[in-house]
Amino acid sequence: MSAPPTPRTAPIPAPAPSIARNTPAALPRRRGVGLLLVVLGVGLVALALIAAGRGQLAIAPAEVLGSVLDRIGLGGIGGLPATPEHPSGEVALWSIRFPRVAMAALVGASLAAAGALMQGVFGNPLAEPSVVGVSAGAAVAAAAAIVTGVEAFGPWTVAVAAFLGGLVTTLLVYALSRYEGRTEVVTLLLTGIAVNAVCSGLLALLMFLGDTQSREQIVFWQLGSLNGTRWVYVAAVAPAAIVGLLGAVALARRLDLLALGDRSARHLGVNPERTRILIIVLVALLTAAAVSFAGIIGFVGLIVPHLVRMLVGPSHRVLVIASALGGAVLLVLADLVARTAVAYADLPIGMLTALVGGPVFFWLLRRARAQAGAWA
Amino acid sequence: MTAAGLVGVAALEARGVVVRRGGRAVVDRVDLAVHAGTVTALVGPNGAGKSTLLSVLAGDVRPDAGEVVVDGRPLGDWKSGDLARTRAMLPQEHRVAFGFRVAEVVELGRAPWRGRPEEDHDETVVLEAMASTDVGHLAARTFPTLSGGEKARTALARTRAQATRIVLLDEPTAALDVGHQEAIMEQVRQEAAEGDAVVVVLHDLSLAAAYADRVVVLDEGRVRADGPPAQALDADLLSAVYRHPLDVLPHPHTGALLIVPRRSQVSSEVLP
Repeated sequence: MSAPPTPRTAPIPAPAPSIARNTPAALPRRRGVGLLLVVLGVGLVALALIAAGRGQLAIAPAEVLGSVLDRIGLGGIGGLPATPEHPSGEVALWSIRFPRVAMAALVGASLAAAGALMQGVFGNPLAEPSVVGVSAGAAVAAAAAIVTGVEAFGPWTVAVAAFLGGLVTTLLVYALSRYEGRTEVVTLLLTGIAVNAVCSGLLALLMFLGDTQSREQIVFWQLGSLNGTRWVYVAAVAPAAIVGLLGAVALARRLDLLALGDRSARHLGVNPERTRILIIVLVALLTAAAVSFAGIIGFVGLIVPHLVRMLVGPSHRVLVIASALGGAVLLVLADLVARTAVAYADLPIGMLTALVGGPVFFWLLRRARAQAGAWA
Repeated sequence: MTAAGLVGVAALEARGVVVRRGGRAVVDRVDLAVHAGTVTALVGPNGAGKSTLLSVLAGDVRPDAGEVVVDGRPLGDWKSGDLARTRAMLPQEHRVAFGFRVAEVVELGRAPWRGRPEEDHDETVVLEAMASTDVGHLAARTFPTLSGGEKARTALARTRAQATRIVLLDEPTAALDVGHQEAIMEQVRQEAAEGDAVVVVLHDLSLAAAYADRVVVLDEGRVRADGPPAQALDADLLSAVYRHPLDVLPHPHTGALLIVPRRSQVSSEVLP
């Protein structure tokens, strides 16, 4: 012990007042979650009925609804006609329009959910399958399957190839862009540029190698389109999309814990690495479901989750469900525009989403930058 | 206070723990048994191995030798869910991706209790945790918009909401003002009084003296002193460990231990 001090300290203060300030009586809840889900769900159904009626052969929404009700055994309700007035209406609806609307919904839901999952895994709101090159990786593998004419999995070959390509690319991006357990925005985007560059080079090579028919198919992919969708394609995409979406909802809560960082997630009972790998497989599955028949449709997985987060916050369970619904709405709408904006022309839907999504992406970058701490 | 700690099985025990980094033992044969109802403070200079030891106790770092035993069972035998309901850990860095609200971050501390009867008390526990760390008024704010001290308190609230019997805190007071430092350490004492075993890394030696039952002084990975504050916080030992002369003084009114670095030696010795 050292020499005693000269007692010049102030007299003992009164006991410190309780420092705690007004704590709310109940936890603040995000409002509007239920409302958003209902609006998106009802909006999707209504939009699907409207979209199915539009095109060169116009069918009134009431007729579309009547036809649907008739098919599901509820014909004649509310005096709706069982079949559209136009003689070709029924065929147009059920063999062309509905498969296409269904495919748009599935692809949109898959892309938006994949975006939400990917952002959760990377802890970064700018991660998205097309931005980081996963869509391109899936397309390269699918194109390779076409050009080489491999048929290892029969009619599923292209889809399986897209899945494997997406999986490999996602793992690659994940491995390349993480540094000391986190992914910086700049690293992620630069990795995306590199991966996209390599993939477009490989696609060019495959186009060079392929015959005219496969070349056309690859071009079709790069633009992204739902033109020519048939029920068989919907049936091929649906299982992957549905499994992916259900898995996404099941794992979503763990992503909230991952947002705390790996250590804290582990302390709360989650295995971060295992969770990440599972989610990456789901992302690849969903991306493959979207890409294998519709081609590269960019930015859906970026815009939709972002809007949802702005409305109801970042909790991943709500985010994944609302994003899937929102993505379906967005793509059904985008496809409606793609095939009706110009008479007798079917615009590539990927072109549309890129034209709208690019500027939105730019706006997001600016906004994220302005709010320091909201990313990185 | 310490008497209670001597009874029964240690809640958390390190046995001969060694962690090597780059050929150097950053934690060197450390034995430490922490009992329920006590606050153990780990102190020591930068690089002494405090945080590494805490990481070993938390199961983040696998020791190169020795083992960690929780409730009499080796750490490796625990299922992650059971462990998450038994021990909580406050890391040094507080980062949350995305704009989660304070209340939502604290609620994440309840994740290990999902699907169990305790889940029914989630809201009460979360509100209490927020009140005790003074973040209640921030409940609807988003985490990235908080100040450093507010983030630290929110993170602490999350570990409190986890409601575990073993609590590991890595510098919980580092970013806090004096008022919040005292309030948080009062809370830590309160937790121990309720039967929790608390291990806390502290830089402020006077805080350790005031609130810990037991102080463990680490230097170069080794335990240099271990005992009640009045015994472990010895001026000569601390001066040697921190490579700076330190005085340990009783508070003139309360008698509480104050640890003060000796300053301005030059001016007092050279000037007339």
